[in-house]
Amino acid sequence: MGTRPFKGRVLIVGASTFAEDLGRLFLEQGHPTAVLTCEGEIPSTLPPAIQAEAQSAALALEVLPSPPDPKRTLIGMLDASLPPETPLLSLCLTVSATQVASWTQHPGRVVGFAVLPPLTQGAPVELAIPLHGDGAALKLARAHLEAIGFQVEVVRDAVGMALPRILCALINEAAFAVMEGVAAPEDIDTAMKLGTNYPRGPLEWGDLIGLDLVVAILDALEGEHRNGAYRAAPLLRQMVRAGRLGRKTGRGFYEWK
Amino acid sequence: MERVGIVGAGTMGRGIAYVALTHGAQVILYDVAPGALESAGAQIETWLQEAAAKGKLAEAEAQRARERLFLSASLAELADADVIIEAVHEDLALKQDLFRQLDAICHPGAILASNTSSLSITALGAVTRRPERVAGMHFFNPAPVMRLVEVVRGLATSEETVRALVDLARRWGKTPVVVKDTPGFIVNRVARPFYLEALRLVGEGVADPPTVDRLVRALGFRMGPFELMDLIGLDVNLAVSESVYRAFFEEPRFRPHPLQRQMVQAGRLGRKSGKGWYDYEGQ
Repeated sequence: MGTRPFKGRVLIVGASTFAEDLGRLFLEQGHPTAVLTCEGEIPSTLPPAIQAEAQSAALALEVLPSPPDPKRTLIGMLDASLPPETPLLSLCLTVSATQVASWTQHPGRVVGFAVLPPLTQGAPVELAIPLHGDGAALKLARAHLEAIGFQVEVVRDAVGMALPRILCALINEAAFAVMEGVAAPEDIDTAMKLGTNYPRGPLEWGDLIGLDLVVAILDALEGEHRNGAYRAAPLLRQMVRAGRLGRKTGRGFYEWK
Repeated sequence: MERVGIVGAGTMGRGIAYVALTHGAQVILYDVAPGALESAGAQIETWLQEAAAKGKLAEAEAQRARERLFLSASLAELADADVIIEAVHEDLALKQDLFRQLDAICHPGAILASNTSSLSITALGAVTRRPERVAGMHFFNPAPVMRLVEVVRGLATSEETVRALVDLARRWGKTPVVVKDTPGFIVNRVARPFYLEALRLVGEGVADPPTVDRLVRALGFRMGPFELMDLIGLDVNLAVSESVYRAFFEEPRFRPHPLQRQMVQAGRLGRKSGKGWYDYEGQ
């Protein structure tokens, strides 16, 4: 592919569920891409190879969905290693972009983005700039995400942005209905697909996103709004404690083979 | 052949009558208003002709369906029905009054079902001497097209009654789901956040209605929440939200949004008024 124009180097660091799919999409578009996966445990320093990648990266993505402390550590390390003008996209599902930018020396380079698994071609991605950012990086972030096939929309910065709020609220309500014995999980999903033309049932959706992430998003929203509207169904917490997180652990509301 | 009595010849009643007729049932369609009966009869005739013209229904079948339909302005004619499906408007006192009368008229083995989307089945059963034979049979609009039927089990509804209605829905080509009698049943409850969360987003200035709709459509939904509210009617959607909110004793998850009330106050009801979240004038 010698005729392909030069594409900037991309560095992706964070949870495998996001990092691997995003890495594959950037590679397919011809970007030299480095991926470092880490889950709950964050290394105290970036490995030398990743450090080197960071110094020459044209775009960096941090994709730890939660919790905030490791995310803050990781953002700090990336901010210190990246060239000051390199845009830093941070996965903002449980924190706002403003919060992330407050952890850096260069708030102007931070762009928050929200996307939920499954990450597929044409999936919607939301972008938001921090309240005290200058949006310099937004245009570049948008161009990159559109080039790898996402449908990009810009929203105002708020915890959970738009779609994670709508989806998690739907999943939560369906989980309350299961907990209260209103109907069987399959029947609830069937009802929503046939009665109101949803493309998937909310409980199936919860299994695909991961119920641990759903609870983390709901808790972040409840923490931000403190109005009871995002109180997670106790059944969701019980399922997380039991390791029934959905597709990624083989069982959630459904069995996944 | 099952004898089905349908009470109320409005949009839902006539739709359910058409479903029953085209699946072999004998139907007595009752309404207090002769005009409603006449228009329902004409509507069912149109559907039968359209189905026959499209080859969805053999001409002989359509003819037999026609012969099985009886329009009646006398409730007493429902005495021999095996199943009654009530589809009058959503008013508990009106429905309870009707259930009392039906209980007196219908034979003791008949099932009395309600197509209510928001009222308590338990409260309807309680005014009869046969609460075990009272259940919900909630069809979706348009009934001839939508496959879902929520079969609602009231506090006193028997297993036998639930099974009979599940079987009936299957014989009529529907997909039944069994639901415990709780506010909004499944669909009208679980769909609340789809609208309410979208309204909160707009209210907080996170995104505007077209942006939310584009995002939601990108997930595979046929319509975004604002387009769908415009289609359903903002007044109808608000009424459901308010009813579920009250029925759950003001649970914060279901709190309706002031923006929607304001739109209704302005007469922006959606497509039917020419303007809602979007403008439909000149379309």
